Amino acid sequence: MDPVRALIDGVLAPVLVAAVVVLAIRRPWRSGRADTRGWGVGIALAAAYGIGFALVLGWPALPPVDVTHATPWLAIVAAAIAALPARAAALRRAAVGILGLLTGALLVSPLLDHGLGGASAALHVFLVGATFVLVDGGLERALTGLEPRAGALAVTTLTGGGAVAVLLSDVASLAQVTGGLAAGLGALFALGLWRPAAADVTRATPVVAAVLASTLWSAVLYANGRYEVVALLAASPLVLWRVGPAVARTRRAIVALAIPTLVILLPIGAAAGLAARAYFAEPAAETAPLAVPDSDSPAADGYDPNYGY
Amino acid sequence: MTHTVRTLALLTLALALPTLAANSASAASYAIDNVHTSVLFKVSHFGIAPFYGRFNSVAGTFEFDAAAADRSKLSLQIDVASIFTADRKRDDHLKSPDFFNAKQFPTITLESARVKAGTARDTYVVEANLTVRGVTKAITFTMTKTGEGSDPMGNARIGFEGSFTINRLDYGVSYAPEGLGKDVTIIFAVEGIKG
Repeated sequence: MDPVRALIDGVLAPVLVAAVVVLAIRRPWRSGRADTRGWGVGIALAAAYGIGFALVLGWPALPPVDVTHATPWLAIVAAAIAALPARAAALRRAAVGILGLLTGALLVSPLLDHGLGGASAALHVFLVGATFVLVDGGLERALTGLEPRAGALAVTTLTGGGAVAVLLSDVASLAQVTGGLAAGLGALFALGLWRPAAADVTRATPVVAAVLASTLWSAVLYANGRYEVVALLAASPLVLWRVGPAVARTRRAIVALAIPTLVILLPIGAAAGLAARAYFAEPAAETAPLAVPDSDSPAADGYDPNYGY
Repeated sequence: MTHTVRTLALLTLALALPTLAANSASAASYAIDNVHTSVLFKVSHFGIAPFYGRFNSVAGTFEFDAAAADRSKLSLQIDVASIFTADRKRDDHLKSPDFFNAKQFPTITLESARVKAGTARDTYVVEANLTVRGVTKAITFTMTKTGEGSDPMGNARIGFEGSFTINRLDYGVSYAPEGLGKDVTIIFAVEGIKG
């Protein structure tokens, strides 16, 4: 892979799109009403993710042929949910739950034709939906108590950690486009250094949840992703919610900025460590030679009527 | 005169009978013998050297009629999970959504739409639909009959080989277009047992 092209497609383009869209739609620091403040941030992040996806993997089909390529469309729906006014909190929560379950059904449905039982399918639909709700709800609560830039940096770290976990699950392309979302979040953090309110991504948590839940579960269901890695990443916003604001109350701005990220790095680091251990533990050596038969194959008895010679 | 016409008509009918019989006979059916069938793929690695891999599990059937090639048919099902490149980590990666997404799309299928005799002896031009990763495209390739006969168990067998090249991006197999060539050549040799 050409590293310059990868950098442009997966990082620079999402950074540019996130910054331009968030500035074009609505300058967050000038928003008057608290009820609608920051409504465009979710759209900016969905656009950043979408452009990275289109450049890396091509424009996604609608309806998606490959369910692991449905994430851009899910991110758009999530951006619409993110744009709901704050007073519609109940509707927002319900919409997030429904989108989470629909994401689960979408990811699981092709496997029903290939041996996944009904009970297992239902369990996985629930798990995908729960991941969606957990990431969205946990981040929303955690970010409410944090300084905007500290929150943006923590969410950037979580998304980047998700990308690393997916990369270690043998899905480099989805990892790259998830990195595009992290790049978009990083752009908002950078804007926040100029205007702190520009980094407020509290309203955009459904988009982050949509991308992380669908991508992490794509890696589990369609590649070599691990359940415990998803569990740690999904639970990390809760750690940030419980611990982050308390430890971030310090007078030194740089420390207040860094501590939430360090807090959320603990579960993310553990998840990345587990994913790396699984990835590097697998044998890299040659696969068993063809001549070794399955125990129930005719050749296991020493004679295969079709083998001949 | 009438006698001459009748004789000519009977003679014409007699000469035409073998052809009519051949045309009305159905093509012989064969089941793919996976043990003696090879499906390989070739792709350029960074433009440096071609790399070859294979699929170990192939199923399918074909019908073959040497006298009337248009009666022939081919249906191949390739098990994506059987991909083999002599490196398990690479095999796992090839099965992942980066390449074939083998769990959602476990089978590559090749279904002939039309077969006609080629210009060279024992060659056949096959127009077929190839489905990879849920995307179906029409392709055309030439197959050559490589031989036929009986095995020691008395099974009638026939063999063909052929190859074709596709642009993998057309089928959504788009990972690493700079590192791995877009053009992938599929080389296959099938042996069928008459059933």
